[in-house]
Amino acid sequence: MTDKLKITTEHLMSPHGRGETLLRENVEVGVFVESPEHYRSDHLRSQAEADELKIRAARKMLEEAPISPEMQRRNNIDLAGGVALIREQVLAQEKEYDPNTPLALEDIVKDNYGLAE
Amino acid sequence: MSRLLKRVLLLLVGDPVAAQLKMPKNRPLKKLTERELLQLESEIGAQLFGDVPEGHRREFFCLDPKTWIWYEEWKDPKTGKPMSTTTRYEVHEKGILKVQEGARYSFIEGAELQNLEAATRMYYEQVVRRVYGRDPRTGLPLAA
Repeated sequence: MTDKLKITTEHLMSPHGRGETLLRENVEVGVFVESPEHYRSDHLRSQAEADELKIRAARKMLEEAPISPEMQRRNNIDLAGGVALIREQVLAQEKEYDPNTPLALEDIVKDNYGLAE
Repeated sequence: MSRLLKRVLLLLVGDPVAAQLKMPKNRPLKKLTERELLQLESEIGAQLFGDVPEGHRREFFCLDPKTWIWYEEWKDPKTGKPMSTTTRYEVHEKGILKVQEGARYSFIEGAELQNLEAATRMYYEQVVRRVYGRDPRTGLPLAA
């Protein structure tokens, strides 16, 4: 007996943090597992492991599924939007070093003159 | 008075020595606002569609991960009146939605979609490398 688990785009978020979703037109992605009991068996102890299996299976199916050139272009534009995430990272880093919050005086001295004495 | 204390005093009273302070190694040299970063990005983006006609001003940039903006400004040759148009491209699951003034919406296709794809890919490659100094493939900082 099999249970069909529907994979949403949320499951297909890129692991490298660029935020893209991988989509295919008119392709329903399903993953079959042997049974709910098997799904909860010792072989799959954590939810994370189970999710990883689902994602891997879904990716494999997506790789094999046909994709229209239009949808491929849409995905490429989506990927390029990762530049905004890099910008956010840079701004977050800058915020950590807010010049309006000066370093402690001893740190300034240490940074610029060392602590010879 | 110890040497350290003298130096601290110099820092506090604003002696020229203070002007020679070096930034700590782990601190960025310059803080840029989001607006300034977008302007830098847009300078690259504006060149991706070919030469900007004389008297025109063009902006093209990625506003957020799902939105791209194209802004064009020029003067009407007959009336001299300033004109402008803003186009927003939104990434939807179904495709790329083009939104213009006057509540005009349409999913783009054909050559327009192809051109936008090419432009956004070049934008990503060039902005990530030239503005943020990172490898476009990995997102990691480029080796100095």
